[in-house]
Amino acid sequence: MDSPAITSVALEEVRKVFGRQPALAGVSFALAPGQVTLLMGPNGAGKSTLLAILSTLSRPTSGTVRYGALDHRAAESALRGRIGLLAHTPLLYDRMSCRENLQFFARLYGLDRPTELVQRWLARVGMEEAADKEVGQLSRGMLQRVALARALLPDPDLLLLDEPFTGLDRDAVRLLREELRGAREAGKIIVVVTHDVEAVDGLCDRLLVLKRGRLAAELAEAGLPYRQIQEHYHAAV
Amino acid sequence: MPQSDSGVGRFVGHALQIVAKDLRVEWRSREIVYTMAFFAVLVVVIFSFAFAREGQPMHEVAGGILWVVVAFAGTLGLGRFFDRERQTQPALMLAPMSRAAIYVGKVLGMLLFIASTEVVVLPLLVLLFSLAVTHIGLLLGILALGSLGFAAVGSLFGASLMTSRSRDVLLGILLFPIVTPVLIAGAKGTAALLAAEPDPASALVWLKLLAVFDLVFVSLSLWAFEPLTRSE
Repeated sequence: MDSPAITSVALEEVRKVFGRQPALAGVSFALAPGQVTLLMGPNGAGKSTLLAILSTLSRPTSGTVRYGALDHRAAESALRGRIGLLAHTPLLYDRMSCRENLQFFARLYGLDRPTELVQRWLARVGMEEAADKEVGQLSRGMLQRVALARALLPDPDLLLLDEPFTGLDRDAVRLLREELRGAREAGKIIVVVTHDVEAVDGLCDRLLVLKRGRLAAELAEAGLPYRQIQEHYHAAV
Repeated sequence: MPQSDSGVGRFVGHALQIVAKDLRVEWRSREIVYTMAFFAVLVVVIFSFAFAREGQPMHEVAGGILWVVVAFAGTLGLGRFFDRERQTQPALMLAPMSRAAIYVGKVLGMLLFIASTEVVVLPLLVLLFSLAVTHIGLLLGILALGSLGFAAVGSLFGASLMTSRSRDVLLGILLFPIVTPVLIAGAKGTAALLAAEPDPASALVWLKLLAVFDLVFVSLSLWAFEPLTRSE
């Protein structure tokens, strides 16, 4: 059974409460294909909670997230495999090599020719030489490269990246920017959470600023320059 | 493009991928199997001294000791087994596969770890308690079904408590009350076979009871795994 492609994402008054503490206090916005949305906010603003909800790993306390025609409850099982997540942690097994990790996920996703596909991705993220090293022995930057390959391997429609530039050297930042550009051109829906605004200079089409669980500011313009992002962000928080 | 899960073949394939991955990781670290075996040997040796009459170990307690070892060594293994998955859980949960396949894979993996402990413990019990083992098939059946019951409930709670801060404490508190019927049936069935005069008829009754427990626990766990592992 083919899972339906994600052609749009819309949040309608999404709230998330932990105990009595609201992490999200009614957030609404829509995400379109072929756009990179930058999500910013101070610590505790609800960015990671929002990513967890968008990824279907967490359910909103109230409100709805629509993925095309599906609401978030239906999407949990129907859209598995359509969502790529690059999280705070690399989501890789320490005692397996980079190649073994990627092959494991490629097989779980039922991808064609997993061995060749993984080899291509290892080359693409510059990890061919360290391909057979255990992930637990890698530097933060190398880990992030493999994590990026894991997230992009199944060619997801919705790509969620939480602080993807952390620990990356200049080459790796360039690589990630190229991948994001490619994904945008391929019509993917991309959400990036980062404080490293220089790394996303000219890459984002939209800025959403969260503050205390609410949308505090929004700016839409193709290829937002980082200075404009910075100014807008500081004015909002 | 990725495809979502359907069909028994795909389900089994996913479960086996999980087992293979867990075995590979354990082969490299060997921490679960070694820890469980070390703990199990220690318990058996201590009990062999504690339960002695006129300098001879009391063979009638051997069945109970075996299942105490399975329970405690198994809990020790469960904690570490699911701790390994804590960092990668979101990636597994986003994969286009049935969550039940993850559950089945984890149960099979845990079952193999428990079996590896039993392979060490059983000969040691036979040696230290001077046991005469007859009806091997029946004994292995009781061990297999009892271990499956323990692994089935243990994997459900191990997975659902993975992200909980007090998981180590909660695992024992939640697991033992539910798994007690399995441990009692296992201990009684094993004791019936390891007695001076083995009672295979009684052991068979306990074996059948274990099969019923397993059926109930595995069915309920397959149903409960997805809601219990969802992060709310």
